[in-house]
Amino acid sequence: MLKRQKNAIGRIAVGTIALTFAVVILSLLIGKRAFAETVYRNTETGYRVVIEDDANLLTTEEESILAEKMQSITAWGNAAFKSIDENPSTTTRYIEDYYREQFGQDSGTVFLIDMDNRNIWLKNDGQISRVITDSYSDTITDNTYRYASRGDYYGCASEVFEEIETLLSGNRIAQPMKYISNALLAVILALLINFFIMRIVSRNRVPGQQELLKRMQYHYSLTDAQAKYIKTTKRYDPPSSDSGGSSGGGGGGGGSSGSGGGHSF
Amino acid sequence: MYECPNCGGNLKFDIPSQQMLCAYCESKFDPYTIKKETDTVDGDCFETNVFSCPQCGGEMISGDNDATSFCSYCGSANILSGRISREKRPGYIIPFQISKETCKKAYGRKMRKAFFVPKELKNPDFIDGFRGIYMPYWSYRISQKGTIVFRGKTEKRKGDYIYTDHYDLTGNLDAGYEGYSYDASSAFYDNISEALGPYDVDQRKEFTPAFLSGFYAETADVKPEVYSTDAEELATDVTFEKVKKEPVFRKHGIQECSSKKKTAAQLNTSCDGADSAMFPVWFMSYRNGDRIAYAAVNGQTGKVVADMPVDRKRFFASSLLLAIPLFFLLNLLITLRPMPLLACCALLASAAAYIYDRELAGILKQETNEEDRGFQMKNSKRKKPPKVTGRKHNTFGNILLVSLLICIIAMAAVASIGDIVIWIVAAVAMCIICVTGYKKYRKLKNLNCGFGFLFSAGAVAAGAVLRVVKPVSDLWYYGGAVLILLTIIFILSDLIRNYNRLAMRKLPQFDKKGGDDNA
Repeated sequence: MLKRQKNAIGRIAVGTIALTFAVVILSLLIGKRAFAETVYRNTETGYRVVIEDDANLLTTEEESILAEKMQSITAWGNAAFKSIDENPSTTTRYIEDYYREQFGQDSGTVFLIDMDNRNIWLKNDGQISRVITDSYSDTITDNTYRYASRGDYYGCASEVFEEIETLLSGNRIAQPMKYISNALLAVILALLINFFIMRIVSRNRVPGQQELLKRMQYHYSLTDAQAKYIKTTKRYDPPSSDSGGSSGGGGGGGGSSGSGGGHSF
Repeated sequence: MYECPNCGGNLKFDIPSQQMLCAYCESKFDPYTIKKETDTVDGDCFETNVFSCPQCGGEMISGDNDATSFCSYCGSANILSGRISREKRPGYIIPFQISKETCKKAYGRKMRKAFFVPKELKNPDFIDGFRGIYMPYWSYRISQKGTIVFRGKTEKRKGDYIYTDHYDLTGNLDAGYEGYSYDASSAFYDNISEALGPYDVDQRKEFTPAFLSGFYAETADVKPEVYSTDAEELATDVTFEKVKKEPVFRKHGIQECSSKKKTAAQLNTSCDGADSAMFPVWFMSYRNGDRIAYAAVNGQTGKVVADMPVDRKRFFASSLLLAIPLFFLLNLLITLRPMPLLACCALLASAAAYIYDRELAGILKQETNEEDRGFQMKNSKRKKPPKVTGRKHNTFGNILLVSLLICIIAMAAVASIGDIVIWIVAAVAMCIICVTGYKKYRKLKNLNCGFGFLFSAGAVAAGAVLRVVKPVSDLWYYGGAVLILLTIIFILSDLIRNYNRLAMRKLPQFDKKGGDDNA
């Protein structure tokens, strides 16, 4: 009886091991996609790296390389990569909620690939948002959306976190179109400013009435000024009934803090 | 020529002493005691030399016999032909009070602020070309005498009713104005003479030809009726402001008449006449191709009025220099996303087109002398004076106001609604400007280029298409923005190229082909 039970347990154990092994082998054979959340914690700062690839865009290998790249950001704050393929709300709303859920008020950065809305978005807060401003967030997503358009999601995420790390380290990132458009805008503004200066300087002021009077000879006297009453008329005009002031309104709603920016792809 | 009674030398009017001064023996004489035989041909006229320019036909009179070597009106360096002529005596004259040196200093001060004018205009040798000219003016006498009657009303509320008390406000008015002056020469632009004034008529003196010695003078060819309405309007405005402040009238709510003409009639305004006068002007001209710029300095007060042409090379070079710090400032302050950048460029394009349209309007007025009523009167066959066009439009003020409005709309739109509002404003503005601008462009001949509107409108339309299609790639938006920005630079370059048509004037032609037909 005991021996029979032992055999049964042995069969179950062997079956379980075989099944687990088969599943692992099968998963390796079917595809290299990973579903797991990868977390790294910086022991000095306590900041984390989070990778949640719900849209299944990265391979395990890519995830681990990306996680390594993201680790350097934990010196300044948390770092998260998130991908989704279903989003009933907007990309900005989703990333705001996700950030709050993951990191609360802590310093950090989240890069989101929203496959449903075809958007990439970057959200920063705390110490990181002081460096990665809205303007830089826009520039980073502008610089990287082309990878996403081509389907190279790893390349896109990798470039985003590289540029974030570059800026946090005090270095510069390329903003070629910003410089070109600003150069042309500067030329136009300079032309306009000089044009207005030229017009102001070349104006010949025409003397006003008082200035004319000062140089003229004139006299004025009005005597026997009288007001003679003629008649009184009346018109019906009831006072307005909508008197009384309204009470003051409440304060404005709370907006999102930190910085962010994104791009469609 | 006036001869010195002591040595027979040439006497000329000396500004510091206000006397006739002999250049040889330095004797001074009262101008009223020095007379030539020809000074009193008859009561109304005096004999003088008239110098005519063979190029433009412009005429100037002088008591001196010396032939002048250049024409102040067209700037040509011809020896002017002279003849003796009888001219009508003006009623009075304000002799020159400031010397040529003071005039040059005042002009120099004004030119120091003019960064973009051609360097010749600041050259001391060129500035030495200022010439003292007595310009003819009409000095009006306006009177307002008699009983005046205005309506007055006060209102008070009782319950649901408003009661209005009506009054007749009466009084005896005695007001008079003397010395409101307008230039009486069609050759002298109204916008120069208006800005040059006013002259202090307290310093006027009875005319004697000796005052002209050492100077030139222009003859009057505009009738006094041309500006009498302006003089009456000024008197009406001033008197009515004073009448309104009368305690009895103010208390009983004096009412303004429905039109200025009616107010003038209520005040018994009448023009009692216009005195012919000569006022001193230091005058200089700068010729560049077929355009001419004038500089005039009030010979009594030293006020400077000058056309300021632009040296295009200097303007563009300084603009490029200014663009460098602006570029760094923009990089520090803003990073425009591709779509808002495209919208802002479209708005800038419509602002640039608007400025260009206003410039065309200014050039059109300049070319047709639309605002110069003296010129219009002289050159039209109408016997009646041209209508008073009312207060002149402040074109520059309008440009500044509209530019500010556009900036405010842009900021508000970007902050609240997004770039759609900017596109709507830009597109509507561009359409209106293109239509109005094209009409003006057609009226103007020989305009340098003028395709600015077309290019700019095309680029804005292309940008609008991009906004609708919304391609994913930013390169499309940046490409569109760069295209629009390039057309703006094109418009602004065109603006500067044509600016000298606005800042300078057509070469004058005084109805005398080949010059002095009277000689």
